[in-house]
Amino acid sequence: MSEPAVLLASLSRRAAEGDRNAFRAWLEETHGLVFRLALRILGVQADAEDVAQETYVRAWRGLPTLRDHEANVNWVCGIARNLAVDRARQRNRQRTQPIDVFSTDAISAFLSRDEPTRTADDAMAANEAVVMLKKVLATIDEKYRVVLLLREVDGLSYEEMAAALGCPVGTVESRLHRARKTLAKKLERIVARHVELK
Amino acid sequence: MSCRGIQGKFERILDGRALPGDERIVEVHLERCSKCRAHAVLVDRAHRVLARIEPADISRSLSERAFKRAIAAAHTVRASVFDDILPSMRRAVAIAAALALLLAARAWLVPPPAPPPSARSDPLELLSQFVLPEVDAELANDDPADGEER
Repeated sequence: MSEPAVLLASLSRRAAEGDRNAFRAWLEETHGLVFRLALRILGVQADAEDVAQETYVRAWRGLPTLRDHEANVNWVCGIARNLAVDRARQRNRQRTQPIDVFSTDAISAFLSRDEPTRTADDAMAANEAVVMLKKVLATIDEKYRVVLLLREVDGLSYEEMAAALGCPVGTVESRLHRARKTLAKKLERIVARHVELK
Repeated sequence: MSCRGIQGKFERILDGRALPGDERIVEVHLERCSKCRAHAVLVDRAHRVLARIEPADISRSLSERAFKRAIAAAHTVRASVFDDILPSMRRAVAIAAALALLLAARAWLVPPPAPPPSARSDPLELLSQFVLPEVDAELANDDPADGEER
């Protein structure tokens, strides 16, 4: 066990005994991961904050029953994952957001370009591309999308992702490969259709 | 090496986890494989767009709010447990108080029962307590004219 992991396990044990200071320290150490995970599943900052808060409400209640304190990070991320997935399901039942192929110009133009962005116009185009990319990402299966965002946007290590997602590092690697491949294929199709329409 | 293996190596390069010699192997493969080249271009560009997505805004106030809510919720849980228990306790206390009040009122309003006759009382005196008043009442109701006819 690494030094930070030993510290977290110790804080988790003390928090389980009702030590509020230990709970606060443990929360501060794990909150970033929990919040990022919720944010990448839900995509909305306010929802992610709410889920992260609810996660710690349950954690504070549940810590006294936690048997394996060495698995405290997996455990708390598991709570966050379940809450976020449930909330995403409820939300998705209420609305669906299909991709409008005619509004994918921005991303298509950006992806077709050989040179990286330099001018203000280029930057604006890139920003539009980001908006479109988010819509494309929304169509990718959650388990692949989340790993892709945690890696590419949040820069989490493979080990951190494995803890957050509750799976082995090998699974993270294969999901990430699949996510990248899926995204590349979707983008390829968008670019191809854009060319056809022109 | 297969295209899949090359794509894996390409991703390792993107992630900064490349092994020594990976870059050269990928470079050589991409020069002659148009399919992998196209894939690499798209993945690389998607990688660049993804890098423009704003990272999570995690301030200390977020964790502070989470801590406060967790502690506050714990108090609420305790309070709600008492809320569950208290109504039945309140009912029991109210019933007990009402009973006590009733008993006190009864004691105050109703005079204590007559002491039981002692074993040494005179039987005639006892009999007079119950029988004589009835006899007196009968005698009082009797019509005096009846006796005169006889």
